[in-house]
Amino acid sequence: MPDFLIFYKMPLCRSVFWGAVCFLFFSCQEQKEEPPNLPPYIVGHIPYDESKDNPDFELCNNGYIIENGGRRSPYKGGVKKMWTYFQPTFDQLAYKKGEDGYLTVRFLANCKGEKDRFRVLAINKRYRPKEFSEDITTLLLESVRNAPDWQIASHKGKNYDGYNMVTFKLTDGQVTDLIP
Amino acid sequence: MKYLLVYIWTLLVFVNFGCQEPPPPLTWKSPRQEAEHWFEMQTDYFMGSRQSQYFLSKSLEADPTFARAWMQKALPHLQKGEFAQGFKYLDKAVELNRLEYLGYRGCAKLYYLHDSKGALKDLIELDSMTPNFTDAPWGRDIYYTMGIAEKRRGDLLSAYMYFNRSILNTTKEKGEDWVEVKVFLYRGIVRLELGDATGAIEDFEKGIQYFDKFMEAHYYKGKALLELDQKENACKNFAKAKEFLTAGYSYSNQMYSMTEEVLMDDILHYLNMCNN
Repeated sequence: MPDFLIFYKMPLCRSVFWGAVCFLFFSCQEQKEEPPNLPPYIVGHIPYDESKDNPDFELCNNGYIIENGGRRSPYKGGVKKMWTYFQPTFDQLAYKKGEDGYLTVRFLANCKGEKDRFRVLAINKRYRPKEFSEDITTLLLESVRNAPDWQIASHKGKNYDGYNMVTFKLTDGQVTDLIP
Repeated sequence: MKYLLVYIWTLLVFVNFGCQEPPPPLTWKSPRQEAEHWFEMQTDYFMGSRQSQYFLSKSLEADPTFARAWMQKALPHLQKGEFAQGFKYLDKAVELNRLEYLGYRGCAKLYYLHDSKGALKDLIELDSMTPNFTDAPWGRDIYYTMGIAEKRRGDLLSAYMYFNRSILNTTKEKGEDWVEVKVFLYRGIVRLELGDATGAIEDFEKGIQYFDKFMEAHYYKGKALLELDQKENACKNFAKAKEFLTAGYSYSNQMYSMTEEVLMDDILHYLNMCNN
């Protein structure tokens, strides 16, 4: 054994050595400090808004929300069932020249399947922010709100809170495509 | 005693400096070096997290011409339906490095918004920028993606031409077993829609040859066989599709809907017909 390792054989030195290793390990864990001035939310988060949202809507998993995940389709029966459900709504939309673009409805469904925090995000054909006329927005938003078969987010057999969304492609006020 | 002091001193030095990341230099050699440092920091966090957003902002503050950071900033917005922000950042990345990010933007337009026309514009431009080279935006042969875009647009002949080109190019360059099986599937679907059920079956069988649990290929082969009035054989394929889907074999993506997605209801519809 080299001379300088002789102290490792002494119980006290051995304790000091392992103490140092533990200290090193835990101090390394603390190296990652939160940077200051972080943005308030992760991208896509929908914070509670008392002017729009139901105060009784409860999340199940302590703020852990799955993004549209854990399942193949966000809607039971997939895109075809979505078309079947939404078609009567689409038929009610009047022709409106210039009402072109994409209207996305994003919302939260908790682990019990209750839905809330609906938000509308809309863009024009050039992908810039746009506001569709109120009748189009209200009709599509209410239709999404009342759709019965949104899937609950799940992972390994357990239900979670999850974000869902659907995008409607509009040309002259008519829905020409539906993107889950 | 001398060795004891050396031993303790070494431990202290080790403990004090061993695990600390080297501090960022006070002066950077260039804005890009600083931007890359902050970009690297954000890779420790999940995409779109508060920390990731913070470090990407620092990166872009240091060097607003750093296209990779704009691209990274765009991704979580696109995935979460915030398309205005997503495309604003992605456009910036494309403006700064057209060759690198045009293909990504084309795919994003196609898969997130079903904007086939916009997607084709980007993909055709990218293809023209790289003669004698087959690009692979989103990890897929560009002609395959262009075929999907044309099919969505309803131009079946163009779609067929692109799927064909994808298969022929890959076969010529690397061999047929390098062709992604989905290209056979889509060329088959297009042939079926063009009325060529026999040709379609050849493509579905080719897909199955390379991946025997190819649920979608079995399903569409069943549909093609029905066109040829071969009900018994068709039903066997629907049964196989059901078996493979039950076992979890299907192409799906959590972030965007799959073109020509096959669901259990579709298969059961045909199996019910088989039982009658």
